[in-house]
Amino acid sequence: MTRVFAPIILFTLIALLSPGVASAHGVRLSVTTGGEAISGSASFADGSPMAEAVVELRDSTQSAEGPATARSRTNSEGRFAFPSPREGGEFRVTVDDGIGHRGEARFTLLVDRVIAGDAAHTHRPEHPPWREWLSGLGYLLGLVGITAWWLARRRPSSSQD
Amino acid sequence: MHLADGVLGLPTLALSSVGAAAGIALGLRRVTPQTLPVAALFAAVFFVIGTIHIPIGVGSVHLVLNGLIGLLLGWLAFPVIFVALLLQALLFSFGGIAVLGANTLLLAAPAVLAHYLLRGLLQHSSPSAQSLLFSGAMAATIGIAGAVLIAAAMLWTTGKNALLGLIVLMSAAQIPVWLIDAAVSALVLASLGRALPRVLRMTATRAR
Repeated sequence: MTRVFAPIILFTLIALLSPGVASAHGVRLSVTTGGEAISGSASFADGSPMAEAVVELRDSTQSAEGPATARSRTNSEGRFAFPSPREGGEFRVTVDDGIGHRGEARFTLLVDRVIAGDAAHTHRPEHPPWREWLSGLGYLLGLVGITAWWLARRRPSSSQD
Repeated sequence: MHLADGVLGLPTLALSSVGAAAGIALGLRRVTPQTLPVAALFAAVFFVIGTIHIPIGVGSVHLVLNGLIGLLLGWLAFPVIFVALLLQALLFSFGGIAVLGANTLLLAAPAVLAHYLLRGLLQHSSPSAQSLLFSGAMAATIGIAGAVLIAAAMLWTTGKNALLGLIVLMSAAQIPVWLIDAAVSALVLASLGRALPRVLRMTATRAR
């Protein structure tokens, strides 16, 4: 019995602890456009602000290593702001604290002074929902395992694959 | 066709939840070591495709495939669709928790109907590609049309709209969904017929 349960308990402990370790380094970057400025905030997955990190604004023509359109630092609350570029296009904001934590947000800026006005649009980093898919499939696999165990217990005499 | 929380009245919600629970119970009794992997696969597929929105014109559509799931899995479509909807509600805030029973019922009941109406076509030892394509398209049609009818009936019980108007409006919106669903279901079924024909006959023999 112990031989069966020991690995299960060990694995469960590792599984429960890993998300805590991984999300400590997850960077959350949200950017708000519209009006005169591009502003936003950077924080870690546990909610603490990413303070004094370098924030850079680049357009689609600028490479990641070259000079940026604008460069700033997040304040103690993780906030930053840039003057809004005059022309529209695709932009990205990167935040990097220099010790391995980096976040990036891409967005498209439509510059139409009449409409943009005071309306603020918040852009979250675009991505296919990999995290949600992974979670859902994980739960499904768990259910499949439980069901398979249940099936095996109910019919111990039959061996089918 | 996901109905959102707060749209339906309490009696409708309660009745649909009872119906869904009955369907799920019937479905769970049919789980076997053979059907479990396929059921899990389709639950995963249903879960993921429901979150992939394909832009069409001004709006967007996503595959449903409830007809295909029902055709292949029979009553198992109930627990499969329920689990997938539950995960969508929890992880993507699609639909709602209170309305989970209603959404399960409106998607899974037509799936089971497609199973009983079309499974005869799958019993042949080697069904032709044409009959598989046809069955797939028909399964999708029954799945989408059934879901529209049941959803319209549920919305009608709120007393806010006439039934016929609801059916017409919802059908019009679902036509693009129906088209891609029929195409994909037909192709998937035909591919399964060539690659994994035993999947088509999974529900032919009852293990219990």
